[in-house]
Amino acid sequence: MDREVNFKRLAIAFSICVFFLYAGLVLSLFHFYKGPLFLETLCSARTLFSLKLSLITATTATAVSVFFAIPSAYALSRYRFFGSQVIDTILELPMIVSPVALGALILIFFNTPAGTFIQERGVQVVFTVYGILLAQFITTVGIATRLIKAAMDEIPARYEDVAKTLGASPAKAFFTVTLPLSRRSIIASAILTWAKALGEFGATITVAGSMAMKTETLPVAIFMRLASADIEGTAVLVLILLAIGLGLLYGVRLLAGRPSYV
Amino acid sequence: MPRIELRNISKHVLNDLNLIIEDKEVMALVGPNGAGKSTVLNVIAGLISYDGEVRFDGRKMDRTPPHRRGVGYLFQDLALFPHLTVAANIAYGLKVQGYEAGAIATRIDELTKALHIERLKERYPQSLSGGEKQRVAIARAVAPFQKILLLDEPTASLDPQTAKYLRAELGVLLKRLEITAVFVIHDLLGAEEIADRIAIIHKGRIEQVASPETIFFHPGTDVVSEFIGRPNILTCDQCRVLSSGLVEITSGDMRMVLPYEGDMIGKIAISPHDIYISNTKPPGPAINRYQAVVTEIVRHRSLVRVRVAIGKTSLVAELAEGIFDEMDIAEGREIYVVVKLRRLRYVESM
Amino acid sequence: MTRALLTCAACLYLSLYSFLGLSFGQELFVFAGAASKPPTEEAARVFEKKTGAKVNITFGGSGFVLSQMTLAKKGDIYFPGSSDFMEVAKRKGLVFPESEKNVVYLVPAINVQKGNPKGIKSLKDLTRPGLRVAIASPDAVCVGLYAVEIIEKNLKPDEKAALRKNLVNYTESCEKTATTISLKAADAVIGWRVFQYWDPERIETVPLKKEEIARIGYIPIAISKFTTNRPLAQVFVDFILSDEGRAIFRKHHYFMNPEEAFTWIGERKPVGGEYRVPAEWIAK
Repeated sequence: MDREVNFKRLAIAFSICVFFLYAGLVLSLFHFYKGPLFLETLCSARTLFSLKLSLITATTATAVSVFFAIPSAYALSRYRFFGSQVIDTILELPMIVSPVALGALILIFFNTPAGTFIQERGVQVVFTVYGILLAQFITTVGIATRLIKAAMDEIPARYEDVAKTLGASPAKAFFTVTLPLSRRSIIASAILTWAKALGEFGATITVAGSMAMKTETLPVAIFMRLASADIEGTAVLVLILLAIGLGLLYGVRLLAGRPSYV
Repeated sequence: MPRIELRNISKHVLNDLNLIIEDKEVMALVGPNGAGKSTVLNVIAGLISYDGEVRFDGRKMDRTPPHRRGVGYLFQDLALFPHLTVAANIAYGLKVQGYEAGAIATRIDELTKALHIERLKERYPQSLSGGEKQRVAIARAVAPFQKILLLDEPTASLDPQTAKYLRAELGVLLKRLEITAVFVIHDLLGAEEIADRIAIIHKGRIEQVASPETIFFHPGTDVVSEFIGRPNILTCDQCRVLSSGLVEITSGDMRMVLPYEGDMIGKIAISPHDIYISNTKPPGPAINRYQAVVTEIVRHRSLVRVRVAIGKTSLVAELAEGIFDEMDIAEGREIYVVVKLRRLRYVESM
Repeated sequence: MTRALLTCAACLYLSLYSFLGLSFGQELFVFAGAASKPPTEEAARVFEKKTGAKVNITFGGSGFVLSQMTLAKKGDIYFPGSSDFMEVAKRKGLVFPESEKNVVYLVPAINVQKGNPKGIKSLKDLTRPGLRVAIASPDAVCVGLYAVEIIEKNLKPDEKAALRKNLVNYTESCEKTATTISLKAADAVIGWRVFQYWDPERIETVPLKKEEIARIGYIPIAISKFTTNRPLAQVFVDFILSDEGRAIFRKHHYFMNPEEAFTWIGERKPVGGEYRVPAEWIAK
């Protein structure tokens, strides 16, 4: 009994340590905090634009990522097809390759004939909002697929067999059984993906640039402040990103909290 | 209500398997673990790929995917949809095939009544007992008017009492709905209760397909014999009804009193487990108690088979090694034999 | 947030490093703007051979490395890409003003893709509709400031508006301005004349008209107030300014004195100084 309690205490202690690590960093922001500057920065047109841009692009990119991730994850989870192992591994590409390298890859692509064609005949991507969406999408779709695949792996394929013997086509079985059962995990994966997209910096600044009031997301704005040696401004923006980001994440948690299926 | 034919089926352990299940028949597929029973079911349902032919009423089904074969399947782990109520579970097949709400409601009422689960309609599967879950699963499987039903160990996880009741209800339901059914079961006794015919399968091959009686009294192969437990088969020379439910038979030098409803017994099969031997005179009345001579002792794994002679009649008793070693028994010795039949199992009538 | 963490990590690293440095011999920490990376690295190597002291250089945007130096409270030399950030450093009391020296001189120019596919010959050409133009961010990078000044002083309001319409990006550093052309992300940038020598296979310089150039820039060097070895830092500064040091910079096509720059432009110009960017350029 004693050992059980000690183990529990130890485990909790570890999680508290992690909390203090992050909390400590956040609190150190206040070393450079200037009250009136905070309000002034928060209400400035430039900051509000960055905030709006960040929220809109993160949400859109997440939606597209999840849209691609769900069927891909299903295929990787349920079917053994030629190349599935390779695909599964390549999903880790964005995590291995640094975001800036990823952005560079995208820029290099648009230098190729194919990329040039797209930009001339189709849509301008480099240094536009579309660039932000592309950068965020490419950085997050891999991990979104991985997360959702893990969620689907938890749903026994047996349920789909049952649905089939009851007359449901594989597509119907997916929509009426697999998807509802993995709903909560998919939402959790989407939330994580959103957080990653919101904080995306390296690929975004490389592909979409850093033009204020045009392609300057909040993480990019933070970097630009630091690059102009404006440390107080940096601290303020970091605080804003933290507050809005964590606030929204927590809010969604409260809303999406529902009993899970055993 | 089709006739199912399996021809030259090869998959996993199955090797060139052939089997015919007649229209509206209830067939039990019995065999040891790894014999290929579940594989046969999966082949009929089309859930796995296979070599060979499957025909329903003569029509080849090999290219038809499972959701179009009209084969219901009751899996051993049931797999009731946890995110749907009992009613929604049962309705699933009908909804997915486009039946109207009214028709669905009627069908649900009909089936829940037949299986005594009306009051469970709005509950979720997690809150049901084992037996209740089983009934819901059966209702769900037969709801979409399936012509064929496959069942994988439908009563394996239930206590013997519940299992018995459920098997009886299942038998009635299957006949009423005129469904061709194949069920996998490891318990031969349970099989005999609802099966029209039993198929003994061993290492991917069908050893024998016949009525339960035939299997017991005329086992086709050694494997079947071993599987049914090598019962002792006695021919009744004479048969006399003592009172309602009790019959006295004479077989060779033995006279036995048996619980039996009818009046004419041709042969009986006694499991070696039901024959008890002892050095000393066993307590209790002298009914079904005999003096015999030990003629042969054979050790087989952790069991001991003792052959005894009661006059001209030879019987085999089977007991655990430990129990045998405690007694002082050797070939040629005289011992007491008691036949204990709590329930008469296999009888071939005249 | 990521950068803040990186800065903290950098601080940890540096403090560790300096602690080790005390036991292993003399060391210098230089915070340098990326604009002069190749010659600075070469000069540092020569210095190391000559004196045996180790030179640790952190390259980055001039403002960015200034932030790093401020937060780390470490550093011996500040060597930004142009004068504007040195003014910021002096204002914030981060360097010894009397130690400031000019090292090389920079001339703003238009940089285009090699072969000049869009046929850009002058500043006015940048107002051509459909052209993709980039400048460095005026509030973060010196050459961006200069670009704004040039645009403001030389274009009529409607031309200015047309050029601003063509602006696709404010880059975050000097180097990024150059690589914008290398990666063909824009048709033209207003950068330094030396950009051509940074990537000769992909960048071509189109000179501005002599009357269009408002001022020439210079790369200053100064001793940081955080220095723990002022004598050695002074030796380094002296080396950079020596003939040997200057030769390295000349080799990389920098102008060694204002006269060389004026000769190239064809006119005398003010050297350095500050320029206040009009509010409309920088969203606040």
